[in-house]
This record gives sequence, C-alpha cells and structure tokens, in this order.
Amino acid sequence: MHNRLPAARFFTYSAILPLAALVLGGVALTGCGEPEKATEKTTASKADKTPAAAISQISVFVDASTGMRGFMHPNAPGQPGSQFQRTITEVLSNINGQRASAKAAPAYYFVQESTPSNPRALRTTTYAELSNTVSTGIQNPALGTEMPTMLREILKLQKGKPGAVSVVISDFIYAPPDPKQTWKVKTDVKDALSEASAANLAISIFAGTSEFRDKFFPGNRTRFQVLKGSPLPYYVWVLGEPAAVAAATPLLKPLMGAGFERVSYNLPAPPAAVLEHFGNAGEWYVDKTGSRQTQPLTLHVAKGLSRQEPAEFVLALDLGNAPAAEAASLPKQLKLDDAGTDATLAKVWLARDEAKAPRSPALPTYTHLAKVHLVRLPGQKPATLRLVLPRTQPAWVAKYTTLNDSNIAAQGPKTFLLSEVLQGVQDYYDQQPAGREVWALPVQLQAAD
Amino acid sequence: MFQKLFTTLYQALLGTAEPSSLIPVYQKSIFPGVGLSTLFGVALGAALLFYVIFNRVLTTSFYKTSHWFIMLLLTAIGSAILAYSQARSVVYASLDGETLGAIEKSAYDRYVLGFLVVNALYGALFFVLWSFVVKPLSVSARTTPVRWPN
Repeated sequence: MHNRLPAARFFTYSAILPLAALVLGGVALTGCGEPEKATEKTTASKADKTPAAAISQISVFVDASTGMRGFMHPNAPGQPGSQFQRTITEVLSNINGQRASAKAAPAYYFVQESTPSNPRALRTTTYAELSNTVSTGIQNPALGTEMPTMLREILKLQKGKPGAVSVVISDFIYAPPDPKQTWKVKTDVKDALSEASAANLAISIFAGTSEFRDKFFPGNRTRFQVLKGSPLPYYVWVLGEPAAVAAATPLLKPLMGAGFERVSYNLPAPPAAVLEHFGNAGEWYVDKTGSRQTQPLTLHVAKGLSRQEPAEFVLALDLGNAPAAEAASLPKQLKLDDAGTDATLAKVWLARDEAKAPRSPALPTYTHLAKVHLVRLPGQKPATLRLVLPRTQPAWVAKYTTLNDSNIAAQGPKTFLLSEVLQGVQDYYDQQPAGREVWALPVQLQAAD
Repeated sequence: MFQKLFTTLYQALLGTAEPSSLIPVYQKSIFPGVGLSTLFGVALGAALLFYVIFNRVLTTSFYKTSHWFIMLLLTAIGSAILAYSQARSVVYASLDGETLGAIEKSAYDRYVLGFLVVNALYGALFFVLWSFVVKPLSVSARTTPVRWPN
C-alpha cells in the first residue's frame, strides 16, 4: 500500500529532475565534509627544532676560587662591569628566566675546594646570591678545586638524570700539583670526563675574554701577578645529553657574539628539512607525519634511477645557532657520505643568496641549502646518506694557549695548557664519530612501495 | 583499512599520483576520503533518493529505467565534482603556501583529470551496486532497472 503523502500532489514530473540534480549536487559538495584531513595546520614547516622539552634541569656551576676574583671585581659607581660580569649576568638571567617553562627550576652551585673535612666541592646557592657574587665580587673565595676534579664532581652530580644540562663557568686553568707532570694534563681531563659515557655526553665550550683586576695565580705555580685590567680568557662549558645541550644553546646567546669562540663535541645535526617543491628533479616524495617530516629524513624514490634519469633534492639546513665560522665554511667543508649509492653533493650555498623565496615560504627560515644528486638506488634495503661536517682543529686554540703563564700581563689573553686540556676532550671522543665529525645528518633513501 | 582498499582501487586505474611529491597526500587523505564519500555519500544517497524518497515516501512517476539512468548520470557527475573539489582543496592545504613548479603543475592537472573520470566511473558503479541493495525498500520502483532479485 502506498502512503500517499498530501504533499505528493505538488510534485509533478517536471519538478523532479532539477530537484534531483540540486540534491545530488548538494550531497556531492557537502556530504564529503572533512574526509580524513590528515593535514594538520602547520605553525612552521621547519623540521623539528629541538624542543625545550629535551632539558629536564639546568645546573649552573661558577668557579668561586681566589683566581676568579679578578673577573668579578666590585665596580665603582659609573664603571661598566668587566665583560665577564656583563656577559655572565645576562646568561644567568636567561637561564633563570626559562624556569617557568622548564620541568625543574635551575640549580646554582659554587665550586669550592674539596677538603678532607668538607669533601663536597660543590656548594648550592641561589640565583640571587650567584648573580650578586658575579656583580660585586666573591666574598669568601675558596682555594679552588682542581679542574679535572671539578669536572668529575659535576658529571657525578649529573649522572642518572636524563636531560640534565650543566653549565660550568671558570677560567679552566689546570695547575697540576706537580709542575713537572704537565704532559699528563690531557689524560687527567680525559679521565675526569670518563665519568660519563662518551656516546651520551655532548660538550660545548665557549671562550671569551674579559678584563681582570686582581691577583692572577699562574698555572705554572709561580708567584702571583696583580693585573689591572689585562684581558684574560674565561670559558663556559656546557655538558649534557646531545639533545639537551642543543636545546640549551639559545640561552647562551650572549656568548655567541664577536670576540667569542666556540668548539662543540657530539651535538646533534642542525634542524634540516627536504624542500619538496624547490630545485627538485625526478620522482620522489618525503615521509611525513601530518605536515612535519619524519626524523630521520626519509626519501621514497618512486621511479627507478639511472644516470640518464637522475633525481635531485635540496636539503635546507638551519645553522642559526652554530658558530659563525662553521656557518661561513659550510659550503667548502660539507661532505656527503654516499653509502655506496654514488650520490654526490651538487652544490652547497647560502639560503639568502636564493632569490626565488616566494615559491617556498619556509625557505627564509633556513640558512644553508645543499643539493644532492642521486643516480642509483641502493637496492632492496634502504640506504642512509650522511651529510657530514668534518672536524678541523680550531684556530683559536693556538691563539689562546701557552706553556708558561708566569708573565701573563706581557703575553695577552692566554690560558695555561689550553691545547692540552682540549686535546684531552678530543681524546675522550676518540672512539666516537664525534671525534672526527662536528655533526652528521642522515637521510634515508628507499624505493617507494 | 579503507585507505588500502581505496588506494588499490584508484591506483589500479590511475597509477601512482603525479607529481610524486603528492603521493602521500593522495594515499593518506584524498583516496580514502573521496572513496568513502563517493561510496556512502553520493552513490548511496542517490540510490536512496531514487528508491526510497521518490518511490516510497513520495509517489512520483519517476520510476522507469530511463529515470534510473538519469540518476546514474547524475551520480557520475556528482562524483566527478566531489573528486575535483577534494583533490584541489586537500592538495592546496598540504602545500601550505608553496607553489608547484611548471612541470609539476601540468602533471598535477593531468592526474586530477584522470581522477575525475575514474571517480565518475566508480560513482556510477557504486550506484549500480547500491541499487540492488536498496531496491527491496522501494514500492513503485521495485523492478527498476531489472526484476531480479524481487
């Protein structure tokens, strides 16, 4: 039995057709709705910048021995502080300022002498006391702990705390107890660092110079000299897991200007992404989760490769937080480890030289571009190309090192046995790729299924 | 699950997406989305419209086989429109401000054209399949287009 709806009277044949078309069109355009929009909104299409979540806690250690007093001299009204005071108070302020977003509040310590009665070489303090001490001078200077012992104690404190970062501020003058044993300095440093495993420890060493006004005690263990403003080097060492140290680097921006030097070991590769629609050739696509590229970068090559039909892709690198010397030398120094695929590094250039920015809005956020030329796929198994920046001996070490600092006023800014200390660090990383490479960026290649 | 199914269906007739940089976009978003909407939205909607709305809830003279073919045609057109609009909007969203190069753009246009045609085909096919499912619910169109299975 039909149920004849009263309204049916109003529907004639001629009205059905346009009505049907209208309804179908409506269903077509609206019924789709939001089909599995796997594209999330991007805030920045950069590859993952090491999130601040990599740091669990920052601990700051300031060497408060008598030898450091000269950097932290009390100032008369109107006098600008020494460069050490200005820079370090800024760094402390940066570190203290991020306590709201960090998992644990930063911890502050003075490094003092370890005596049999008080074996703890590290004395806890507060931000206020530390900042005050740096500005107005050390009230009760300690005799000073030997540098390797200081490192050892700090690494012991850091052990078992994943994501902990230690920032150590000192003049890093190691005066061996026996002045004739200077050859052993690098081994002592290496032994101290061995408290932590080399694979998991990253070290960033920042060097700056500052006016020094007070007694200077030479590493040579000869008589002290009173300096009235001669520049001396001081160092900030940052120790921790690679991701955590990289995340802490932006906080040390005051240490990255002109006149500062830096050397780093075992830091992760800089943030990088494959540019999908810029300078690309051949048939490939990049693995993404949502709209961020996966780590490590993975390229799926859709069609077979040959010398006649090569593929090319452009990697964008962000060296904004790297030392200026590293960024400047990158085009010459960057190497490609081709893992047997005969891939070549076609060109490395600065992103700001690239005029076609409108095509790729993410491009200006990167500093360098590297084009890789592929001619062959590895076969069934995926291959991993590595973009490697090889390690070279930093030139500034030779400038700042000395074997005899008894007459430091005449010599200029030098640190006793700096080259030996840094050689100890280099030896510590001897068995690691970090000893030969500043960083390595892996790019996985595989055939698309 | 639907991702694999629809990707296989579309890539069987179209091949992998062009340009290659859009392969994951097609495979993860467009194929499952458009496939599901065509199957359950356009085709089912059209079948329900014809068999249930026009020929059970209402009583019209829109029940002949020729009318069924008109619905089939409209389904095909609706599927094509759906495919085109989804391909454009999802690809545009995934590019996020970047633009495709000239070669990529022409490859993209070619592939979208093929996608339109293939989805129209599948839309029509799904309509035929749904017809047989929905037919028993109808009153005046029970034997359109063929008597079986009633």
